[in-house]
Amino acid sequence: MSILTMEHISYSYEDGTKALKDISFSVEQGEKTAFIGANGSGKSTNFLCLDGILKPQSGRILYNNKPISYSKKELLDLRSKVGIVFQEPDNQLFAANVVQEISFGLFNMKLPRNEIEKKVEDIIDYMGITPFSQKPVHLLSGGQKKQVALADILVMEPVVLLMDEPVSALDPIHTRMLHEKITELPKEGITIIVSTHDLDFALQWADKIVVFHHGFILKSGSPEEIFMDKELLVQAELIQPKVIELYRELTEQGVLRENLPVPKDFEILKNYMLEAYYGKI
Amino acid sequence: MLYIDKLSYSSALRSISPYVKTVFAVSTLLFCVLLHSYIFSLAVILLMGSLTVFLSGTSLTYYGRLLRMPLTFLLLGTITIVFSFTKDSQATGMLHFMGYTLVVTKVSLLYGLKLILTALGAVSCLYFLILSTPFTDLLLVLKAIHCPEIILELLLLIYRFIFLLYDMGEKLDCAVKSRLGNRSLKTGIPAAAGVFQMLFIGSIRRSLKLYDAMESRGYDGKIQVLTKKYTASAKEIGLLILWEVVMIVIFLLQRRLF
Repeated sequence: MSILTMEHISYSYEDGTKALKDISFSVEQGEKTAFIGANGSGKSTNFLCLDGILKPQSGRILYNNKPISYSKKELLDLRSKVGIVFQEPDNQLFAANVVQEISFGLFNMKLPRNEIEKKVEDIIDYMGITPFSQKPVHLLSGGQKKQVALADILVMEPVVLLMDEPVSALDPIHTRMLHEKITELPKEGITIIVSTHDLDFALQWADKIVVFHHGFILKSGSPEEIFMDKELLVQAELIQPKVIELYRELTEQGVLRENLPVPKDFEILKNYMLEAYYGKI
Repeated sequence: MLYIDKLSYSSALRSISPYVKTVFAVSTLLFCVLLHSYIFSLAVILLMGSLTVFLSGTSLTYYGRLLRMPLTFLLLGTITIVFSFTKDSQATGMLHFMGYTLVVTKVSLLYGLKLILTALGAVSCLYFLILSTPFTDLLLVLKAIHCPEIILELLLLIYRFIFLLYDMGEKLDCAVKSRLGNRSLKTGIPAAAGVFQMLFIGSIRRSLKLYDAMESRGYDGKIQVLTKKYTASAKEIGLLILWEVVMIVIFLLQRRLF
């Protein structure tokens, strides 16, 4: 069952820039989707449309197979189910301290205070925020701000989580931590859409890849299908993940035998190579 | 200013109820101004100073620096009170000017001293409060005295934005310096204009983006956030009442005796 669907969405900004041109796609419940594409290809605008913050000039968006009507009540309802973690935490965090920041969404959902306290406490624990939970937002590091930004949204228990370049400008430790969370969350039933430039991560994580280019969707499909298509990637101004590149080379040279499934990470490719070198282990 | 903010979060008195601290500091300030006496003002400066330095944990050197800031201002301000011109030809002053004589009287000197002490006493009360109480806690106090919601919400956003803008300004300034923009006045003025322009545009863009982010979390016109609950201990309240009584007694004594 598809949870979010876009049908022929077009959006242009006030200055006339056409950011989205006839976008159609759908996301199944629990599916892991990655949006890839060069800067300015329409990924972020798409997110804002999916949350009802921007209203497209044409086309319609369906949540749970029901078109969004843009009435105030329905928008609030949609936003309590679809959450966005923004790329720049400084454009998302507005409150003076961490606890205030995380509780904001819950108050908007009109939950009782004791329930809010409990949820905030739980998420602080889950996201590993405890050591700096009493600090003001402006004294946090970039990585810590990102953790709080994700907690902001997770605490609202969204059905769909949109993450705009979640690991941009993060150090390796925070990148790994965030990737772990993004891998963990779908197991709890959350549908995640990530926009990313980290194609290695997209390859091993996603069920479906959507390729954006100049406001169009060039193609959507399985990671294997997308990343093996070198022409498509060139057209989209992207680079093939290293694992795939090496796999292709080795298969073409006859080092690896034909018809091996496309390796999704370095580990699998390494095993192929060991097998080719030593014979069947 | 940014350092004061940092200190307030690391203060050892941070966990004490902000209501108690505010009542303590503000009432002492009021009595300090009402009593207007050398001894009481001096006592307040010493009390608040030692509370801030020894209990709250502000370093003595930094506290001294903070006190010096209003001191310069005060000295300049009291000059006009201490010195006066008189037309009295008998007066022996330091400066004679077109029939006038610049004089310092004993009364005016003492009055000036009293003014400085009272003002410093009042300032030390406020320093105690802001160095031991984070801004978010002060908002709680404002809420308790029924300050309008809209002002509290604005203060919350302004507080966050001060740091965002300061950060942005610092980065821009760094970018200007790294390209020798501050080499001379001729390059410095357009560079400063550029920084201000970018700050202005940046703050508008930031606020628009922040609004989007707030909307995506279901913002519907009212900012509500979880605030810390403080309960004052019996000991704190007891000490506070005792101090208030002491001040009232001093006040009454002074009014009757002098």
